[in-house]
Amino acid sequence: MTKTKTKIKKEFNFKRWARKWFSLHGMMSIGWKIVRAIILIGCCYTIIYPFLLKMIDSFKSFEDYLDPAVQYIPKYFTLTNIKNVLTQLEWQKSFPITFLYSALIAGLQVLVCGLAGYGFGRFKFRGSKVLFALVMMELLVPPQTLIIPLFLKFRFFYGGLNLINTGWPFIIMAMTGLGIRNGLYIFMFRQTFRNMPKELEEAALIDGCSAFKTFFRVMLPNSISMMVTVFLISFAWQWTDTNFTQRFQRGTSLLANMISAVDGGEEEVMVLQYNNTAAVLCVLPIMLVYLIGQRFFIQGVERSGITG
Amino acid sequence: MAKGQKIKGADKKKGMLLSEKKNMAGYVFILPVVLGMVFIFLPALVNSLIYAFHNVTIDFGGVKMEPVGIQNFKDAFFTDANFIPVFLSGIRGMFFDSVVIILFSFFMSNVLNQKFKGRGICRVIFFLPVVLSVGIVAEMENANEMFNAMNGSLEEASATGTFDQIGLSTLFNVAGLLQLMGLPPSMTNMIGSVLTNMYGILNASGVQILIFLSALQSISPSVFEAAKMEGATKWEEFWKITFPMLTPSLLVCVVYTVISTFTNPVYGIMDYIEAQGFSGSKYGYASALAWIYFVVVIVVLGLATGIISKRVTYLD
Repeated sequence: MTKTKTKIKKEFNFKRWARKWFSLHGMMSIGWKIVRAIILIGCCYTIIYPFLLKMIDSFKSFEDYLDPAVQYIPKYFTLTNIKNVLTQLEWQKSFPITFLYSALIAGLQVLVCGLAGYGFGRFKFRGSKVLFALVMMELLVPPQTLIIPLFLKFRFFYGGLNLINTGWPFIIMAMTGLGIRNGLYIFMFRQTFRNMPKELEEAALIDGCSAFKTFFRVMLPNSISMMVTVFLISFAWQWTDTNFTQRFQRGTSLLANMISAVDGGEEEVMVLQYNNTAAVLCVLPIMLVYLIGQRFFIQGVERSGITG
Repeated sequence: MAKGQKIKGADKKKGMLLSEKKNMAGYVFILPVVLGMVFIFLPALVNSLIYAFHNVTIDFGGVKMEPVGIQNFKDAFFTDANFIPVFLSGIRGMFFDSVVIILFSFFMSNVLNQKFKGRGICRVIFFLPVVLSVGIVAEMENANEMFNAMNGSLEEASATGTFDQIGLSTLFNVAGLLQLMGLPPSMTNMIGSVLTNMYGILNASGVQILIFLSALQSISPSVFEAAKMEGATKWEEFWKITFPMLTPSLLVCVVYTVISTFTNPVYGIMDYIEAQGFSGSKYGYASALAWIYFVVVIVVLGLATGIISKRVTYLD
């Protein structure tokens, strides 16, 4: 799609200018603009500032890290922290594994939640409301209520199979829409599909598409921004999840496990800075993925029109 | 008689509308989710309830359960000295935070919906916590908080950048200013705590802003045009159009906020439950605690949704 912007240049008119800026209404709108700018800048600063500082911290030598006088520009710039932490994380192994695994899980979740969202959003079958309420229930139950029985379930899977420390628990959970906050994704997809024009499906039906073909050829391509949004969120949440990962896959070299194994080496105090650096390194890839995908993310928000 | 019935049944089958037949396909679409619900979710839920009434031990042979009745619940309320204080302080914090998060995200989404320069960048930054404020990052915050508690000086705090002392409140001492203006200290304390927690609130309200903003985007501009023609002011437009149109997503946001704050590790309850279960190997007791907690969540949610859903307006 191409957007054409046409700018109409207005002639300068002093009377209009004066009316705009010096009336009570104009003053109020200027005041609001200033307040708004302060609020927005303050909030953006509050979100970004800690992260920036942490990034800077990971370049500091340990003396700088403890020295309160050194804030923004390290006196002794060093890369040893990052090198040490990267070797401790075994990044050559753990980064690709975590990346592929998170992408696989996120892809599965997009597919399953998309299907379910379409089923709930576009079909009025018997019991659909009750089932949808139950799906929302899944979102409602705190994961901590379920984590112990789930652990035991996967520890002694049907017929006593031990799935703990393999990739299967998450794959099974993603395939059945039980992954981390999947109820939210189903909900988001449902709203997206609900707001799509009916004519799309009717046209597909007349052209002889089955329900599945309609879904994969017509509905999914039209909800690409929502797909990317859900993929991004679920990728990030899977990547940074420590809660389930440390329970179900303690032995694997996923990042969430490796990060808790980071220690200070010879000096125990160093562990603080190393933890910090490790967290920054873990988060950076997600940041990059998010910044690449943010265009879709914001489009997805604008088009979904999530309402109750 | 039997013949008649048969014919009646056949008629009914034949009389199924095309749309009804088409809608049967819906079952296929939701099949994976239903399978997950029936074979994994519901058994796990029921199991956790059963564990709550048992003494559970795990060894290589499998799960061993000894029925103990309501002993676990009794222990939680009468024997365990730590549970009640952790529980109560957690609930108080969560309640307060949920309210603040919802009000804040409602306000911010309205601001972000206005037209101004740099809106795109602002949105990117505001949604950043959605992908960043979970799991590893949250742990990183906790680690830094410990570090600051050790050092205890303000410079350290701003040097390592935790949310406790940076943020808006160090720039202006707002709480002190308000106290000078004659507000009662209880109120200024509340405002002060909100401001010092600004980072936490911003991090927690990403998804809510996302939900509100998308609801705002879905309001058709023609409604506002019509209101303008009728001579409505901005104030009236907000309360008579925007707010009612947002009430459905308000409901969603309240549910989501309560759930996410209730499961937030910041308040210590979740850690406590897990410590009992995984480190202490008291799976039964941990299940009982989790269920007490779950029931409280359900009650709070029921009250909140009950109050709000009376005022929710649906267009269709």
